Amino acid sequence: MTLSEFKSIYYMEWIHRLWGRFVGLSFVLPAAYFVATRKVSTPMMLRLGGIAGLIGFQGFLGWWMVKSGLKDDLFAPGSQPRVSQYRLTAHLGAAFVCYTAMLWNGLAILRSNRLLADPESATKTLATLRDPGLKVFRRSVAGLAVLVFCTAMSGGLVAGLDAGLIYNEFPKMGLGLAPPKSELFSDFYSHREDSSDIWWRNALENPSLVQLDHRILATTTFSSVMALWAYSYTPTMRKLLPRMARKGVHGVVGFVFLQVTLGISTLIYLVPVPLASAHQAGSLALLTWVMVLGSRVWNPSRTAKLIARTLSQMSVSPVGRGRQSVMTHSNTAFKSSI
Amino acid sequence: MAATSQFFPLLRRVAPRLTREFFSCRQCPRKSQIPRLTPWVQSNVLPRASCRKGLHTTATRRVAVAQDASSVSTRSADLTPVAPTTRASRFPEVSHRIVAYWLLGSAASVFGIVVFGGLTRLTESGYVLPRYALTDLIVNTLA
Repeated sequence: MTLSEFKSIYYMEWIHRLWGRFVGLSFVLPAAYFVATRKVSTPMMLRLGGIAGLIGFQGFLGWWMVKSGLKDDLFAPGSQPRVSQYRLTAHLGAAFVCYTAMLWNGLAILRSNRLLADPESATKTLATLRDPGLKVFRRSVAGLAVLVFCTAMSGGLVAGLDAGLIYNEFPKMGLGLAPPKSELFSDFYSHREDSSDIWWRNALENPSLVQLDHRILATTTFSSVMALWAYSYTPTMRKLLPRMARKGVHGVVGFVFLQVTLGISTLIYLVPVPLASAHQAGSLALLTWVMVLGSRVWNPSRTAKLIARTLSQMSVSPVGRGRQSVMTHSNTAFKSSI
Repeated sequence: MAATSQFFPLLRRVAPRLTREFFSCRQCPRKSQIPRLTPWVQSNVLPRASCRKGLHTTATRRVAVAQDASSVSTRSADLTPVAPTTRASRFPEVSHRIVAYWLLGSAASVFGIVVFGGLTRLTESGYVLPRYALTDLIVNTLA
């Protein structure tokens, strides 16, 4: 390796760690400010603390992960540092959880503010969402979020094992849709004499099975999104599903198509860096949009209670307070320090 | 109006007469200056307001530009009653929107670092910096 090559990979790692510290600081300092100036609700404050802890833990995971790649004798001929795919997936998983937490809480605050600004129409909106006919849809979105997350984690395992470099074809894998069972559940990977650990050892360490698992999860995710899309066009759903939720479904469909396209092309072209990176970004984008859809269909119970309380207090207040409907507010949001 | 959030307290300290003149309740009937009653305002600011015309004490200066309840109102004219406490000692029911924007910005930053981490992994750049100076320092100090 030349010095300039080394410099380029050094910068990659250094920027990544520096960015991590930036994420931590840019989270903790404003969080402390918001808590001190009482701009957050108490549950939100606890959540911010949780996210801050998660960011710190993520830093530890990164260190622990790199350490796992340096334990072997690196000077032995032919050796190559390799991080454990478990720690890599843990590092990815914690990052995804952190991202989802930040995204969700941001969306939730905006939603609560929007709903509480107009309690009467908010009550109507929430009442339509609480219709029992929407229960299946709401639960499906929750299940979809979990499924997308699991698919992304299996992708992390694929990346950790470089399992994208084998079976570079789709939909077949070798001679059939899957490699032979003896290859998938091979004794080679079990550490115990009686091979009782053969299932999970192969599922987590055999590149063939890991890639197959990722393919299965990905096609399941794709089919689930298509099913949800079709379901949103049934007569009941046409009536019950709010417009914004319908648009959310369309967005999820778009992202899943993008992600599947990126995934298959990454595999077929033997994992070129730009495609692989785009595939990873696409997974996070898909998860984002499922969360956005969720924020449009799930019931915000705490906000609903606040709305109900606001409305009940409005109804008991004296009416002679000049209730002219004044909607001519200026468009500038009221800033708290005024 | 929108930019007053940062310089307004400073301005008030520097030019109290100016702020009293131009940012007090007497301006309320002018509808173009009425700020939007966001839920954060409702639960934090207005309950503590007694926005009298011309009144300008430290307790009410936060609401100096809030609406005068007797002259105008909004759809939610009456507010979630909050126990009258000193200002900034109580957590609001709903977080301020700026917290949301900052959280979404942080999320975008995390998105970027995830993508960058993937690139680090793909370029196999993750193995430089094996000795971490801070850990070395800590371990050596403890030893």
